Amino acid sequence: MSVFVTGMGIISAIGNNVVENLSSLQERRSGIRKTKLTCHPQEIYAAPVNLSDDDLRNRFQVSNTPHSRTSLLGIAAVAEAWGHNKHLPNVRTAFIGSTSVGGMDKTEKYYRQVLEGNSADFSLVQTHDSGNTSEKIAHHFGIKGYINTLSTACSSAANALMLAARMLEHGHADRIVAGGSDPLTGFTISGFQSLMIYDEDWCKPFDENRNGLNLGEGAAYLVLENEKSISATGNKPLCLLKGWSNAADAYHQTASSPEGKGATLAMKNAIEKSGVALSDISYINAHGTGTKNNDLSESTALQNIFGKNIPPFSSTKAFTGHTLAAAGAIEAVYSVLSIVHQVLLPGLNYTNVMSETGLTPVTEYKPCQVNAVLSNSFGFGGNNTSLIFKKI
Amino acid sequence: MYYIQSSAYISHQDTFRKKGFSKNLSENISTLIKPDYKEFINPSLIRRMSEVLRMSVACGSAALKDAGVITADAIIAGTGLGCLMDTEKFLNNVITIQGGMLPPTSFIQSTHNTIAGQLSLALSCHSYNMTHTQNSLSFEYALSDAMLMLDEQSGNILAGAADEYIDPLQPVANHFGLNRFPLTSGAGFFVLSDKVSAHTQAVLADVLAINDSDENVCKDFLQRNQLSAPDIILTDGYHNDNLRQLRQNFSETPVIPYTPLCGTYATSSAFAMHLAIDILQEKTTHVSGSEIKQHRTALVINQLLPGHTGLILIKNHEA
Repeated sequence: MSVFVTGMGIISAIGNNVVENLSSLQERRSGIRKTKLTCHPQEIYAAPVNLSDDDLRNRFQVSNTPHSRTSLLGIAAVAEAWGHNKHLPNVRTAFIGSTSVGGMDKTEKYYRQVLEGNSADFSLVQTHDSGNTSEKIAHHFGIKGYINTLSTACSSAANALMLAARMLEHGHADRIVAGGSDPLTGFTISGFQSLMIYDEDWCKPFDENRNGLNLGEGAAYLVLENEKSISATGNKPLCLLKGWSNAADAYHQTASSPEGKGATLAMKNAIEKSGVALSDISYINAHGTGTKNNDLSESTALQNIFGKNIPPFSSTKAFTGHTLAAAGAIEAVYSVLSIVHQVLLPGLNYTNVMSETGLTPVTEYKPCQVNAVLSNSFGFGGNNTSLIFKKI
Repeated sequence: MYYIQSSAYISHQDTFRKKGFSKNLSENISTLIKPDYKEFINPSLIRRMSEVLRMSVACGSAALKDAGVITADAIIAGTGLGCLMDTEKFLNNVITIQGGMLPPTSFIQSTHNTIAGQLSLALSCHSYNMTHTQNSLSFEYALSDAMLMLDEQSGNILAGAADEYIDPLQPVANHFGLNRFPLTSGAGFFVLSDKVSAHTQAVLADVLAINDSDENVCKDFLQRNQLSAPDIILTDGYHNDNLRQLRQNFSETPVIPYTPLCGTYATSSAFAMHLAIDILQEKTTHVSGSEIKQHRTALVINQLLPGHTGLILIKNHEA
C-alpha cells in the first residue's frame, strides 16, 4: 500500500504558512535574529514565530481552555495542512503528534509561582504533559480515536511521520495527520547553553568554523493518506513518503558517534525500504544543526552511504533555527517543496569547507530535476531517523 | 500471534522477578521495592541515573535475560510524564540560578526518550528505538507499536513503560482529584516475540488505545476477539462509577482493581499486565477471598482518565 502526502502546513520564524516559508527560502531570508525573549534572561540568537499566543488563539478561533503554545503552533500548522478535508464515515483518521517539551512554556510560569511561594495557577500546568499537546490539536479539528504522541527529542516529528506511514501501510488507518511542534522555552535555551553548543552568533551548518546551534520554534503537520482514503477524499497527492527508518546510535546520551553509526544505519535502511536508487536521490535535507559534533558525524555518515557521489545537501536550520521536535516535520515540508517545485534549497552562513570531509553544501535556491529527497533527523539518546520522499 | 517471553517489573509491590507474587500482594504500598541495581547496571552509571532510569534499565536487562534473548530487535517505551526528576531539577536551576552556566546532566537526562535511549546504550542495541507519551495511554500505544513491528518483521521486542513520582506532583494531583490512591512510581519491560519459545509465559492477544471512547468500547473489543467475557478483569478502579458499571456488565467475572495495589501513575496498566501474566501462570488465584480455577483470559481495562480507554487482552499459554 502506498503512502501519499496530500497536505501540509507549517509555521516557523520564516513564515506563517507554506508560501511564506518557500519565499523566505527563495530569498535566503533567515528567521534567526538577535533578540530578548521573555522566557530567557539574555539576548540571544533565536528564531521566534512572529505571532503571540493571543494572536494564534484569535486567528484560529481556539476555545478559551488552557492551551500550551506548543498546541497553538500545532493548530496553526494543522489548519493549513487539513484545509478542506472533511470527516468521512469510511475514512479512519488518526493523529500522531510529537513534541520534546510539551507545555513547558506554561510549566515554567507555573513553577516560578510555586518556587516563589505564591498561589499557583494550576491551569498553566494542566497542559504540561506531551499527550495534552496532541489532544488539544486533534480535538480542534474533530479528530478522535487514535491520538498519540511521540517524544524522541530532535527526531520526534520524523518518527511521527514514520509511524504514520507504517500504520497506513498495514491498514491500521486510512488518513493520518502527523508532525510536531515545539515552542521556544527558557528550559531548552538554558539546556543547550549548559551543553555549550548554543552559538552566540548565527549558526553555521557544515562550515569549518561552526560553533553550535540557534534554537527556533514552530510546527509542521502533513496529511498522509492511503489509496482508499484518496479515492474517498479526492485529495491530490503531492508526492510519496516512500522510505523510513529509525536506528539507535547507542554511543552517548547526547553526542553522536564519530563514525556516524546510527545515522548511517537509518539512511541505509530508509533507502532500502524506499527502493529508490542512490542516484535518484537528488537532494538531502540534512539534520545539520551547526554543532561541531553533529555536522561531522552526519557528514561521515553521508560518505559511508554515498561514497564520493554525495547528492546536493543543505541544512535549512540556518533559516528556522533548530525547532527540536518540530524540525523533522518542518524539514519534511521543505523536502516536499523541493519535489513539488523541482528546486534545491540553500543553507546559509557557509564560508569555509570542513577540513575533515571537504563537503560543500548547497548555498543557492536553484532549479533542479528532483526525483527523491532524503531528510535526516537526529536526536538526543542517539535517536536517528531518515525519511525518503519521492516524486509520483 | 504475539508471545510474551518475559516480564520484569519494579513497583510498590514485590514484583521484580518474583514468580507467584500475585499470591502475596500487600495492602501497604508506601515504598518502592527496588532490586540491587548493581546486578543489572554498571555501578559507575547508577549514581548519575534517576529512579526512572534505574528501574527501566534494570527491568529491560532482566527481561532480556529471562527471555533467553541476547539483543532486542526494537526498544519501545511508553511514559506519561517522562523523566520528571531530572526535568524538575533542571527547571528549578533555570528559574533559581540567574546567570552563569548550569550543570547539563539533568537537562541531558530530561528528555522522555532518555529511558529507551539509556536502554540502547546499556544493551548496545542499534535497532528501532521509540518513545510514546500519551498520558494514561502511553503504555498501550507502545504495545500497539510493538505488535505492528512484529507484523512487519520477525524478532524479539523489548516493550515497556516507566513513570516516576516526584514531590511537586502531589499538589497538582490534589488539585485535579487524582489523589484517591497514593502517587507512586513503577517501571517494567516485556519481551514480545512472534515465535513461541521455552520461555513463553503468555500470549498478548490484542491491545487497544482510544481517546474519546464510548461505553461500548469493552464490548466491541471483546467481540472482535470472539469473547463474551474474559475470565478475569483487572481495572484501574479509580472511579467508583466505572467500577460499578463494570461489575454490572460483567457480573460473572471477578474484577481486580489494580490502582489500590500499585498506586497512581500514568503507565500503571503495565503493572496490571505484569500482574495478569503472573495470575494466568498460577493454577489457582484468589479474588476477594474466593478461589478462581478457570482462568485462561485476562482483560486489563485502563480508564484512569475520563474518555481515555486502554484495553489489553492476555491469554494463558498452553504449551
